[in-house]
Order: sequence, then C-alpha cells, then structure tokens
Amino acid sequence: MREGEATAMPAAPSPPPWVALPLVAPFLDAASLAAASCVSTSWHAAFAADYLWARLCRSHYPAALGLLRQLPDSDGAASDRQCSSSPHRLLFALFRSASSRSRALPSPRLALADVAFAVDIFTAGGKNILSFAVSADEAGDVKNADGLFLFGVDLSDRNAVIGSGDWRVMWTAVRTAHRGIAPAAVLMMDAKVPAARAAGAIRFGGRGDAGVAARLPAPGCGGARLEAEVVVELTGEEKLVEKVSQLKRGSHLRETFLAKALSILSENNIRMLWPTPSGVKISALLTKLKVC
Amino acid sequence: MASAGESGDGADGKGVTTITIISSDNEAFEVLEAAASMSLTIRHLIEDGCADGGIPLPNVTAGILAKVLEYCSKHVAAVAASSEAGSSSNAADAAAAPEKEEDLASFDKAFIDVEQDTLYDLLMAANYLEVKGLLDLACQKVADMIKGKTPDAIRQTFKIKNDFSPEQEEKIREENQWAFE
Repeated sequence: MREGEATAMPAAPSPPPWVALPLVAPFLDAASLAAASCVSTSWHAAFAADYLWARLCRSHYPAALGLLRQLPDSDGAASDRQCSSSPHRLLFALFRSASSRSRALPSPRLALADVAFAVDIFTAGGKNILSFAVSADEAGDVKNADGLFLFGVDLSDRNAVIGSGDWRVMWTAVRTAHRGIAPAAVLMMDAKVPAARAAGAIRFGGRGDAGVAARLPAPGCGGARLEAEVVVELTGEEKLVEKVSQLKRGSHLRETFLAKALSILSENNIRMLWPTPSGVKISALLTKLKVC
Repeated sequence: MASAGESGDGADGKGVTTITIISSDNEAFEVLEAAASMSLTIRHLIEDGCADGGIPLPNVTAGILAKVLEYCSKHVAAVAASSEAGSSSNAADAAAAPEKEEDLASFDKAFIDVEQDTLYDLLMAANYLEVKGLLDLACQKVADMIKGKTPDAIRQTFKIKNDFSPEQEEKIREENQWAFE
C-alpha cells in the first residue's frame, strides 16, 4: 500500500471529472446513454453529443441516416443552447420507438410526400448488407392498373454481401415532419429471411426462393388486416455465377421497389420489388385481407 | 545496466533495462522499460531520448502512478509469459496458457475494484499516459456503474447534483422516454 491509498474511512466520493465522461460514453448501450444524459447539465452535454448517436444510428438503423434531411433538427423552442436536441439522437429515438406496436398507424389523410420508407438488411452476423431510405413521393409516373407506384433508388457502388444463415430485414415507415406535426414511425417489419437458398443459387446458378411473412396491426376501423411479406426470389440467369462483389464500379445497381403509403391504401396491394443484376429479387408484399 | 525488474518473473539475466519515472510529488519509481513502454506517452519520451535522469510526470501523483505501473508490470509479464508458452515445446506450458489468461482477468477485476475517486484518477492517468488496456478497463468499470440505472440512481451512485431547471428536465425526460419503456 502506498500513500494515497485510503486506509482510514474515505470521505464521500466526488463526482467524476467531466473530461472522463466522453471517454466512458462509447462503452454504454443506447438506453444507458440516454439515461445518463438525463442526470445533469454537464452529463447531458457529454452524453447527448451528436457524434455518439450518429455512431449508434450507423450500427442499428443505417437506413435512417438517409432521412436526416427530412426530419427537423433542433427544436425551435430550445433557446437554451445546452439542451437543444441533436438530430442523430432524435433519429435514433424515433426508430427505437417505432417498434412499439402500441402506436397507431398514421391516420387516413396522408400525402405521399409525408411518408418515407427506410429499409435495413443485415446478415446473421450483423453485417449491414443494404440500407436505404426513400421518400414515398419520389415515385416515377409509372402507375399500373392496380394503383401501385414505382420508386427508383440508385444505389451504385453497392457491394451486397450475401452471407449465410438468416437475413434480418427491417422495414420502417416514417411520417416525416410536416406543417409542425412531429415525426412518427412504425416498424412494419422486423423479420428473418433464410439466405441460404439464395446464396446457394447465386453460387451454383439455380433457382431458389425463401419467404417470410409478418403481420401489421390493424389500422383501425373496418376490421381489416394488413399482412407484409418478404420474398426472396432468384432467377436462373447466367449472370448468377458472377459474384455480387465483382460488379463493376459505377454500374448502377438499380433497386426498384414498389410501395404505396399505407394509409391511402384501402383496397390495394403494396408490393416492393427489388431486382439486382445478379438476379436476386427481394419483394415485400403488403396485402390487405378482409376479415369477416 | 542489467537488473531484475520489480515484477521478478520476467528477469532471466538477458540484460533487461529499467527506467525511472518520477511522480508529481517527486517520488521515483524504477520499472522495467518494457513495462513503462505500455504507456505510449512514456514510450515516446524514451524514444525521444528524454529518459536520462528519470522521466518526470507532473500530472500524476505517486499513489496513482504506483497503481498504473503495477498494472503495466503485471500485463507486460503476462505477455512475456504467454509468448514463452507459445514457443515452448513443453505441453504443460501450453496447457497453462488459458489459465494464465483467466489469472489476468481476475487480476484486472480485483485491480479496478477501488474507491470511486481512485477509479477516476486511474482513468485520467491512463488517458494522459495512453495506457489503452487500463483506460478501457477503467471506462468499462464506470460504464458498468451507469448501466441499467435510472437517472436518479445514477445521481446517487456518483453524487451528482441535478442542476436542470424543471422545464429543462421535463423536456429532456420526454426526449429520452423511449429508454425507460
């Protein structure tokens, strides 16, 4: 024991030095980080710092980053500088609360411009295959007889890793802030899709398909039920033997998906199709079933 | 000038060098250069040729410096032992390796189980001296003290005063409501 090591009754401990707080922050999970930011003004300054939440967004909800532009950043009322919100923190909170299914789906009169879809796909190991966010009103003028809308998302330079085991697909619908209404989000799907058959088909040039269905809560009146389904389809094209990672830089990996704002839909289907040059198709089918 | 290091185990008479580190309150510590070099700050000073006559550390008191050097000595000895075990053809040595890892882990656990003030001092010293393993250990310990607690419980643990105005507190609680559901 050396001097400085207390041998007598220690005095009451003092708070940690504030410079230590940013050093500790990366070791905290999101919920603990949030709780810690409620402790005091200096703890708030350390733990509500945007870069910490940007990092958490990147690992948990990468697609959400595509929506930053469409969401308000700091609340205008926060003239108190030290308590103004950080945009990434708000984003994280929005997506984390999206999975609370007690939230009702958006009310009927919703414009396409107010809705965005954020899709994240991870391999079983947690590696992010693909993430994108798109505003629902970026529809082209392709409308087929069913009343479906078509969206084009340019994701050039994407190396999609197939992986093995199950993919995790998260599809979140976000009502972005408009005319002073706060943003709201609902997690439409958080499901697993077996990727094994998809991977096998890509390597050996065969056919395969896998599917999973997830249910959404009923929108309210009418007793209607909505179902969301993710289907992975492969076609037996020659291109399949080409590994996805060998796609030339600059080639457009055009992910196209069809979607329609939930609330406007009453009799129609939502289908999200996602063809890639390697022939892997991912489609999400959202159908409304009539319940007697 | 060869001398056995204070940790003892690593010395095999091959001429290991020691250097002197001087705390802010003018206490001198002699340690193996290898141990001291676990601190990047000290390593750079040695490489820049500033080690003659001892390296002064005006930011670190004797008590904390002793602990930091204890950590470094223990870890440097463990690294040496495991590389010996790795290259040894002695099966018993190789089999003992995971056990030694466990020993190190329980050393770390006991080492960081200190009073809060000492914990913060160790954290700050590890940061200043750039001893990554010790910094991570101390930060993880503090993080473990925060995890799973409500803000009130955190305040109690760390003796922190709530200096929010009622309106601020209300707003911040609302923003972080998701963490409490």
